Amino acid sequence: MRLLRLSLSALLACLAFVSAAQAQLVVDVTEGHLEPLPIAVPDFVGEPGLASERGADIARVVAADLASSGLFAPIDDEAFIERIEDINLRPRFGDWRVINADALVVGSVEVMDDGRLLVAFRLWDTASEQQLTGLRLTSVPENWRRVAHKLADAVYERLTGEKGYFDTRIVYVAESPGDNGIPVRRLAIMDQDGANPSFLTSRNYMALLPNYSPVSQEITYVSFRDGHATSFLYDLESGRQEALFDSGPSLASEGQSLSARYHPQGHVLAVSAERQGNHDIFRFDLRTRQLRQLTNSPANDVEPSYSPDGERLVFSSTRGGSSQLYVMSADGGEAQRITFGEGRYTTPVWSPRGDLIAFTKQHQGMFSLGVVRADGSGDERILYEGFFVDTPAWSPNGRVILFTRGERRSDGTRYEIWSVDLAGFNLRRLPTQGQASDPAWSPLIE
Amino acid sequence: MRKVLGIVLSLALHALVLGAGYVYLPSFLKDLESAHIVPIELVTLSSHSNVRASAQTPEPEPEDEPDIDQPIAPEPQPVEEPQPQPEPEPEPEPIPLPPEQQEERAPEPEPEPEPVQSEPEPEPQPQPRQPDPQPEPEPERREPQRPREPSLSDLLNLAQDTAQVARSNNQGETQRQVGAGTANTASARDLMFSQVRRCWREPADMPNPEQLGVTVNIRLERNGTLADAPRLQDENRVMNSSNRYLRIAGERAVRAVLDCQPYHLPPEQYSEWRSVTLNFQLSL
Repeated sequence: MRLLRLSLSALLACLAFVSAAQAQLVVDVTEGHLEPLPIAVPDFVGEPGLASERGADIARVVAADLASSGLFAPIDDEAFIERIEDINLRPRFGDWRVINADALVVGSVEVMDDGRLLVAFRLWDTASEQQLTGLRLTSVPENWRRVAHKLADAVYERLTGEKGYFDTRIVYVAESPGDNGIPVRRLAIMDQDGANPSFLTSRNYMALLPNYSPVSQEITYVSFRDGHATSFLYDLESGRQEALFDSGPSLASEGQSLSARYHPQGHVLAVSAERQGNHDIFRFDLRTRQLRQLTNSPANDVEPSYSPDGERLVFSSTRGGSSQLYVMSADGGEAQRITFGEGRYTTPVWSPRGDLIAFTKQHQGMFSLGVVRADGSGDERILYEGFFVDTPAWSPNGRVILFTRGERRSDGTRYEIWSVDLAGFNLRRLPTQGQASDPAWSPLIE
Repeated sequence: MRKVLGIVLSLALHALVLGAGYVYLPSFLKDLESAHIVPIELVTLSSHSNVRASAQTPEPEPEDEPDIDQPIAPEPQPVEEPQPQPEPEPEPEPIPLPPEQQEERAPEPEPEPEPVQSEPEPEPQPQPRQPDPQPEPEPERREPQRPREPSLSDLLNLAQDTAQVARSNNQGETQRQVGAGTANTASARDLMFSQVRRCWREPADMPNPEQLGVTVNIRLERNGTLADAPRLQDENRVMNSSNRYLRIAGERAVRAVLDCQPYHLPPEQYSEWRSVTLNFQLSL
């Protein structure tokens, strides 16, 4: 009898399990979309006057930063239903959902007794009605743009998982008409969004190929004076400049130096230099000013760039015939070829993420900008193709690439700086006045 | 005694055989059906045709769920008046918000001393052109609950027209096969899929998206709204992961199921979709 009862209960349990399992609909969602995230950034609240004006300015810059990434679609203020008056009250989420805002940024600006601004903001998820992040910053009023960039970075990081790149600056070569029709090329610097531009170098000499230190507000660049090129170090905070190769084993006396790239820790440069008509890769220690040769090939080895761990170098070389990309240990030694396509591969730059290397390629009269895996596996991915492409530079988070783009016009080629994201989308021109080239992206400003 | 034992054993064995049949046979049937039905192009089609079919052919059913069938009614519009914006909202809840991550920052050492060379005319003054936010007013693209009468009736007309054209084009077979509700489970699943995919921001923009799969369990009301908050499976593992991308993938999945409601699913199959497990896993 007990056996009977056991069997029956086992059977019942079995049936119960089956019906429970049946009631569960299982759906595999294998595809979605990647449309820009609709986000609302109403004016930050503040007392009438400076606070209120800056509140509107900051909201505008935050929205513009986010929109420029191509990942966010700020919603027009006209559509807003709720008027935010106090960021410490929960928003009426229904009012934001109904205008299709997935995220909401609210903020306030207050002028403190010492004249500084106190800016606070909260990022809300309108679906879950949860606060995702909040931040408070103080700053002198003149720095309100940096405050806005920092807020945009915080929003970007919280919603994408990546570090932002809005509180950064870009050094580039600005070209303007000079005497005798010879264009003047000199270094300029601006915020990542084109604001606050100014020149760094004089118009008495040509400056090219700037390269930003990954750890400080310092750049190197190549200056053409007296018939040959010299690498210079430029401290952006003090304005002090120093010729790098004028003492000790001077390259300047033996040949022409070309581009230099920082080691990720900022204490060493990888440079390519010409000696007796042949280019090789060198390592220049900024502390000891010592120069050490890393390659010694009869071919031209140029344009070295460090991996983000500092362990390896990528460079372009003609050792295999046409110019291709090679990777070797940061101390030199055997190099492994990583590109095998047709055409000339040049200007390799290692991504800050470490997995990709950006390059430019020239093939059949066209230039292209592409990325390839650092180990050479898989296919290269072309992000942009055009009449002329050069000098790629990564954003600090490795998601966007700046490059020089040349466009043929009736009056000659016009050079501008453009950006494109890793997927080849969101192609945008940087708002520089006049012609511009050779971008170098700063790290996030501390 | 032996006889009784024999009877008991025999009963138990029969019961097991029956139980096994009950367990396995439906799954065989389901596999066959879904294998038969699910060409991917049809999925979207079927979602539309199913919805339209149930909307346009009045099918006398008493229809106790107003939501799904609102389109049928020539809009008397008592419809549950979804948020006429001003909505008094008597809850201005005073700041329960945690001071959360409020990082005080040092006074910012005013970085821009801008070492501009002692040059005349130093600035190119490029007019800080903001990268035009292209805001696209589009205030009401989704408009989740607000019934916009004219467009709704337009839609109905369009649906009827389309159905007529389809019929006259002699596509009856396809129409019947897809819309007749012959493959109930598959069609509920497909409908669910085609709705959720539109709300899901896939993690293709993050590194190694294939490793960012998450599962969300939901329970639905008859009218297609969520019966309670969606539950992220392994929530602790996902939300406390050292991989911040996994956390964001979890948030995006939960947001997708919240955003997409109310779900439009065949009411007669409510028992099948009352409880749903959604596996968000990007296929590369």
